[in-house]
Amino acid sequence: MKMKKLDKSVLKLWYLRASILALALIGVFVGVLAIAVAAGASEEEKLVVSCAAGIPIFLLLCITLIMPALRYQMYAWGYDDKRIIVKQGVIFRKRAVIPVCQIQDLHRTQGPLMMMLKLSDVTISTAGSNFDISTLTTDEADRMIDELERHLEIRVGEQKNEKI
Amino acid sequence: MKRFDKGYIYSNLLSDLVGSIVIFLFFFEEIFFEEEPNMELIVAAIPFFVIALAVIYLCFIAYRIAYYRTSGYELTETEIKCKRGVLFRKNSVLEYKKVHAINKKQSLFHRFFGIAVLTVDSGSTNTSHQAEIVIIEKNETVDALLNELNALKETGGRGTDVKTEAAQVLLSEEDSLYSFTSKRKILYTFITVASLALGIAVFAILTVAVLGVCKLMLQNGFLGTWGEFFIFSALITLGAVLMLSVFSFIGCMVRAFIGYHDFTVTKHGSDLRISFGLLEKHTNTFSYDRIKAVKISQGLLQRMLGFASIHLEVIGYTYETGSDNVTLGVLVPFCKYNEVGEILGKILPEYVPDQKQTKAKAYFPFVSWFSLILGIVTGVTLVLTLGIMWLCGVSATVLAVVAFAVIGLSLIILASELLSAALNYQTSGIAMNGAKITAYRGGFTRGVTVFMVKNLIAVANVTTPLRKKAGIATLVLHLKTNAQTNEVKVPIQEDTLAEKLEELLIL
Repeated sequence: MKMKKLDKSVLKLWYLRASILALALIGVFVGVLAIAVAAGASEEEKLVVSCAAGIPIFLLLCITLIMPALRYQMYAWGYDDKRIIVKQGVIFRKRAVIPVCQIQDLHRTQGPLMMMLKLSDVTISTAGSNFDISTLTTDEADRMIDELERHLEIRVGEQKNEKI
Repeated sequence: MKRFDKGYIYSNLLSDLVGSIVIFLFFFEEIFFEEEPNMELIVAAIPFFVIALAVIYLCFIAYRIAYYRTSGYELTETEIKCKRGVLFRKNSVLEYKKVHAINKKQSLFHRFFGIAVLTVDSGSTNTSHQAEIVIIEKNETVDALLNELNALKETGGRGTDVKTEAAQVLLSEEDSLYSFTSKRKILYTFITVASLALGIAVFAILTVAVLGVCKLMLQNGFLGTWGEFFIFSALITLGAVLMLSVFSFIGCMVRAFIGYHDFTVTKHGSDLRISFGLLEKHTNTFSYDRIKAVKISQGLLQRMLGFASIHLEVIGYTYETGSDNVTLGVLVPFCKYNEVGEILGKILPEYVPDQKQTKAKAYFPFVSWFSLILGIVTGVTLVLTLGIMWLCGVSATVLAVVAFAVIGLSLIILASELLSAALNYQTSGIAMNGAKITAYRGGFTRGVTVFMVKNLIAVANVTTPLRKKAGIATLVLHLKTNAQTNEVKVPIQEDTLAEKLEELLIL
């Protein structure tokens, strides 16, 4: 089975989300400093507060900004008439195999940013777990759902015949 | 639609009355139970309290009557219908052929009025409280309904030949496939209490050690010399452990002897019926084909002493998702680990666990990242603390005590982590035997899950670049059971195993 990479616009979405998070982190840092100033902290105390809040926030910022690229690099997905395969993870790499015949229902979801970029998440529900494919272009997601539905009908038909 | 039995109103009003009095006494305990009660105040307050209690109780009465009037059930040709609720009304329809589990419950108040509660579930819910169908009827009617529904779920409707198995009820200790004897109940109680006491003792010792360091650092001198402090702390700890052990011992004995009273497991055609309880009697009925997995679990002491408990995994009802469901999913509350095969051989022969065919491929991956990070953080904290203390001119003795305490703590964490990793390494494994898979995992505690390949939904393997090079991965098996317990992890196995499982899955 040929594994596909995610569309480039997905990286845009992940960076947009990362930027929002980064802004929030910077906001926290500024807030902490403002409180220190308002409380009349000395220069030394301000330095200590800056280091105490700044170092973890800087590390988090780095991770926030690096992760989308790494995640994008590692993410791959694919499906055929029998199975769906999703590969993901940066340090811990996970490969999940879901048989088409185990699909209960398929969901496509979009948030405001995703609507703007014409992207969608696809959730595959089975009798026990949900598996997400994040994130596909809306066209790709619709095509995938249609094809999987068709494969599912065929597989269920085949299995019924096998039982008979 | 037939209404529930009137006993529902009376039994609930009785329990409401007991509850109201308890709440009432709790709130006004200070007035009634003072060392020198103010009689004038009590006399003046009594009419007010009585009126308040009466108003609250009238509300309960109104609610119970409204519930009785708006609730009911009906058995049609092909389905069972139920409506219930006062403000939020629920109408449920469940086809007989989709019935998943039937459970009968009878509390002490219910017994007093000769009624019982029957819950019928389709497996689409996560807890018994959400069961689609609830029927409150006379005990005999509930027994008859239980047998009738069992037969109807096989035939799918009333039009077909219904074989009622009422005559074959085998709910006696002699007919049971498993016997929870008094000896087992006492052992179960001791081990549960000992596990609890051990946990508290470890926590208490660590607390005493930390307190000791704090005391030296603060130099408060409230508790005299070091020797006096440690003797005092040790006595307090021992007292707390003993007191908690006594309470939990009583609780466990009550659970073992009253909660699991007359524990019987019987076969009824294609159903498994588990019945137990003295004050609250449960009769849980599961179709064999609805059982998706069997979980054998051992706590720390259970593992050390060779005991185990067995739970059923089914869609909807399961253990680990709520206290009520712990009781619902139990198959064998306590047995010797080496008897598991024999017991399951009688009850569910197809779920007897197989011996491990594979072993963990490496030791180091079992040592968790969390512990390593915790170790590093502890080390860095130690250096920083010592540095600050040295700058503040703290004496060498204090510095040495702090250093020893933190090093000791780190060593305890490290040793327990290494031991846990070794046990994980020894336990982890899998057995694939035709249509059956047995997964072994766990460190200080052990879990064995037995399930059929047909109930395997998906397979995932988790690895890192280094582990991939070494050809090892952690298998995550997704089962067709309750959403909260449907993952079974088998850590650090050969990655080719994932491919074998995928083949089984796709076939």
